[in-house]
Amino acid sequence: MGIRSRKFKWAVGIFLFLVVAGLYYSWGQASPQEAKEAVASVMDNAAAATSKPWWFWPIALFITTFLIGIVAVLGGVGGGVLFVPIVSGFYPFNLDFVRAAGLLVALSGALAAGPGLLMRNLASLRLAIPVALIASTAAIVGAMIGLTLPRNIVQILLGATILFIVALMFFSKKSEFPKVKKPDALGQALGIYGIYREESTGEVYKWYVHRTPLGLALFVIIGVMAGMFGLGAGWANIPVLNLLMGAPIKIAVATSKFLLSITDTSAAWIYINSGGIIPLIVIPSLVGIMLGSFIGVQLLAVARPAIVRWIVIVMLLFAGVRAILKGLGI
Amino acid sequence: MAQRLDPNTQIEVPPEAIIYAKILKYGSLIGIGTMLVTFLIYILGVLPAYVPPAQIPQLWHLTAYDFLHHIHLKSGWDWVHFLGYGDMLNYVGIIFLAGLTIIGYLAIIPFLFSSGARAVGIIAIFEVLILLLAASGFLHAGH
Repeated sequence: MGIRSRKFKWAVGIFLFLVVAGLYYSWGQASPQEAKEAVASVMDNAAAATSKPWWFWPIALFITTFLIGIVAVLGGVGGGVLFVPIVSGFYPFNLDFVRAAGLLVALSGALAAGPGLLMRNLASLRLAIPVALIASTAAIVGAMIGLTLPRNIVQILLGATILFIVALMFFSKKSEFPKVKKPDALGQALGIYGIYREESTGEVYKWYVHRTPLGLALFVIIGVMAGMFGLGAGWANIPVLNLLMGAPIKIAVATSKFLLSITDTSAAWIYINSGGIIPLIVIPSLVGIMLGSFIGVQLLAVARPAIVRWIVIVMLLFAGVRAILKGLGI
Repeated sequence: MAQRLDPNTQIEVPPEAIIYAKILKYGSLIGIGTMLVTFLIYILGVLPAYVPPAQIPQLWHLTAYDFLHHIHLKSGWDWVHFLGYGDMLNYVGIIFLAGLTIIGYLAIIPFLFSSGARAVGIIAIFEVLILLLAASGFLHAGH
């Protein structure tokens, strides 16, 4: 990457930070007192929530998640990573119910995408099954930690994680075909390799992985975070599978999506069994995200991905700051 | 670098991937369809509700643990006893979606062993055990 390009990224980053800080200031500090009180009451006060008819909330949630679904597809991120910070930051629901719904949102997306990815040999079962065992076990632990910790601490950690994801989206690279000089012993023993056709060129590639033990170890952390925050974990899966373990980017993206159907399942069970399901929150969210994703796919042909990606980054930045402030009680 | 092969190389989708894909495809359709139908039953009042929709906004600021306590429901599978209520019926579709991975794994384990992928097959058995443990209701948290 050139120095000019790096400077440009920094300049855009600082600009976005200032925009978000300005938005927050104008929204939280400089608005008229009545508006400020109304916003605060909707956010934090259950009594305010009851002042609206019950059907207002599922409809509002449906509209919000519909838009999230569109933006997520266009921005190339999972719905869960936008859903949890935005809904937990701007709706009066306890974080427990939002995380449970977030896991089910990510799970449904992965289940819907799974068949196509498997049938095109892009999602690899040989790669996913060992990784999933580690990640799903860790996700159970993460879910139990997340349900035990005080919610304001989880909210602050969630905000910090979202800001980390923003940094990852901003700085991380991807490699179409990472160099794998020699598959490692564990990868070979588990038979982690595959063949796929690159549809854009018609060429056929055989791929292997390396650094499997380190990759599996990192999935402990990824699993814990997925379970604790209900985020899905594509943002972390893809760099580890692609940049660290050396899977081609298309295999990494597809296997990551498929992996979510296993990792999120285990964490979702903990939330379900701990009382984290409110149908009035879960079902409108799922339907909204699915319809939004459908429209998003239709818009892919005409949208400008770079601009949408910036919109996603700004939304996440805003939601991350909001989560930290909410956790701090500000 | 991934190894480039002859473009005419035949690519076969492994049988376990085909089975798993079919289970996910039809299973997710059934699960989402069930969720939609049960949700309509709930909000339209076709069946009585264990917790009426109008009362939910007064409760969703509680933690999951306090929520269960408030509505006098135990953690785990206690909801099964109240399937005659519209809101509890919604759990059926959600549970089905969450259980789909277990069904998929059980279906592909024999194929993994027959194709010689014994190590991956054993890992898949452990995965099923982990998911069954998570689903069992023994593991829950919150205070």
